[in-house]
Amino acid sequence: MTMAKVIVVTSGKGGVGKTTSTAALGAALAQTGKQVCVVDFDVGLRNLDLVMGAERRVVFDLINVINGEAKLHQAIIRDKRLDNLSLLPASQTRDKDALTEEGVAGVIEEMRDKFDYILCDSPAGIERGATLAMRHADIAVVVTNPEVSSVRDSDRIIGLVDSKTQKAENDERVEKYLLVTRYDPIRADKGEMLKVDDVLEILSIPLLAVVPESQDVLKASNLGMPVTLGSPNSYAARAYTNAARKITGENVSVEIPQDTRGIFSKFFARKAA
Amino acid sequence: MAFVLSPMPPIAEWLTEFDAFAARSPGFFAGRPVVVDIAHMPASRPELVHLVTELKRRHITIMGLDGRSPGELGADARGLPPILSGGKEIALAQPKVDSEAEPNAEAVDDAQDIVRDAAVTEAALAAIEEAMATPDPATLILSDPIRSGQSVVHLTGDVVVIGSVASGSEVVSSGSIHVYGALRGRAIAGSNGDQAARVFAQSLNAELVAIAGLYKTAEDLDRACLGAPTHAWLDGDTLKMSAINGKV
Repeated sequence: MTMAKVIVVTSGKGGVGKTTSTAALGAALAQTGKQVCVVDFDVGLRNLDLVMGAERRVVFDLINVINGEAKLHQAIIRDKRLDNLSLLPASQTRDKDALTEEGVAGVIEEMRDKFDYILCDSPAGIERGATLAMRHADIAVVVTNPEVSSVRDSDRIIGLVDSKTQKAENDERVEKYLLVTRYDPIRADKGEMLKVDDVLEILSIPLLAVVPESQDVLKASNLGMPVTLGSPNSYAARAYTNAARKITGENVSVEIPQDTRGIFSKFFARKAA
Repeated sequence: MAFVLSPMPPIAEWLTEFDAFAARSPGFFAGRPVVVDIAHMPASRPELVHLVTELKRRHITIMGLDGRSPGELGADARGLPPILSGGKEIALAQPKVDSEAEPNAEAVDDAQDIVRDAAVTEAALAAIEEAMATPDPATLILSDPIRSGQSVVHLTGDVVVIGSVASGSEVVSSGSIHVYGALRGRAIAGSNGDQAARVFAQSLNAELVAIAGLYKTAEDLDRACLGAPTHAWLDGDTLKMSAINGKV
C-alpha cells in the first residue's frame, strides 16, 4: 500500500498541545476505519504513551527499532479500545542524537506498508528531533495557540516544512494545515488573545480545526484517553473528528467556537470582574 | 561609533602592520563597524577589491568607504561597501620590533602565509568578478510568504514579495523592496548605499525599515502608517514614510 500518508504534528513552541492533538487526531482517524499508527519522536521526553494510556505496556521503542535491537512489530503497541490504532513509543532513556536520518527513513518506509496514516508527534524546537519528525511528511499539521509567540514559532516551522522535508527537496509540496488549540472565544473577544482570523492572516495556511480550551481535553489527557475516545460528544472531540474527516479528503467546514454565554451571564461576569 | 582605518600603499606592508596591531589587541575589532578611508589608495578596482577582501578575511566589519567620492570611483565602486563620510580616526601605532622574537621561524611562516594569502585573494577576486559578470536577474520576485527565521538577500536589484514578510524574518535588497502583503519583519533596502531605494508595503507593521543604512525600528515608525499601505524613502539624511492613500 503506497497510498499511506505520513502526517507530522508540529509547532516549534512547546506546550501548545502537539501530543494531545496527535492522540486525539490519531484516534479520530482510526474511528473512520483507517489503519493508524501514532509515533512519538520526542526521544528523551516521551509523553504520547501516557496520553494514549499505553505507558504500562511499553517494551521496545523507536530507538530500539532504529538500532535493530527490535523488530517494528515488536515495538508497536496496539490500542485496547480500537484495534486499528497503534502506537510506536519514543525512548525515555536516550536522547535525540540516537535518531539517525537513515534509521528514521527505514522505519517510516516499513510503516508505509502497514498503515494508512502515520502520525509523527514532533518534539518542540527546531533541532534534529523536530526536523527528523517532519522529514518524510506528506501532510503537516501545525499546532498553534492564539498568542503571538506561538504564532511566530509556527511561522518558523512552516518555513522549515517548506525547505527541509524530503518533499520540499524534491520540489513537491507538503500539505500544511493549521490546528488552533486552547482557543478561548471570550478572551479573544476581549482582545486578550489573537482571533482565529488574525492567526490565519499571519500564517496563511488552510485551517483544519479550532479546539477550544477545555476541561474535557485536560481530563482525557490525564486519564490516558484521547478526547475523541474519552468524551466523544464534547466540542473538542467534534473539532478533532471533523479535522480527521478533512484529512481523509471530506469537505468539512470548520467551526469556530463562539462565546455561548447568555446576555445575563455576560453581564454578571463583567460585573464580577 | 565607527573607527576609521587609513590604509597606505604599499598595501602588503600596511596589512602586515595592521596584523601586528590586531595581534597586540585581540578582539579590538570584534563586532566593531569600521570605515576604510581610501583617500591614499589608488582609485583602481583590483586594488580596492583586494583591500576589502583582505580586511573581510580578517573578520573586519566594513561599514563603508570614505575619502573618495562615488563620482571618482564610478563603476569601479560596484560590489564594494558604500561610500560614506565622517567617523573617528584610530591611529595604528608603529609595531615595535621585538628583539626576542625568532626571526627565522617567523620568516618561514610569513612566506607560507603570503603564498596562501595570494591564493585566497585570487579565488575571492575571481568569485567576485564572476558574480559580477553573471548577475542575478535584476528583480527577484518571490511568490511565497517569507517565514519567520528566513533571510532573503538580493544584492543586484529590487525584491518583490507577493505575500507577507513575517515577524522574525528579513529581506535585504540593494534596490527597493516591494511587499504585496503585510510587512512584519525587517526590510533593508539600498544595502549597497543606494539612497534612491525605497520600501513599499501593503500593510506596514515592520520590526525595522532601513534604506542605505538609515533605519527606523518598530517604535519609531510613523503611527499614521501602521497597518496602512505605506512607502518609505530617504529625504537627505531622514528616513521618511507616508501612507499611500490612492489620492494623487
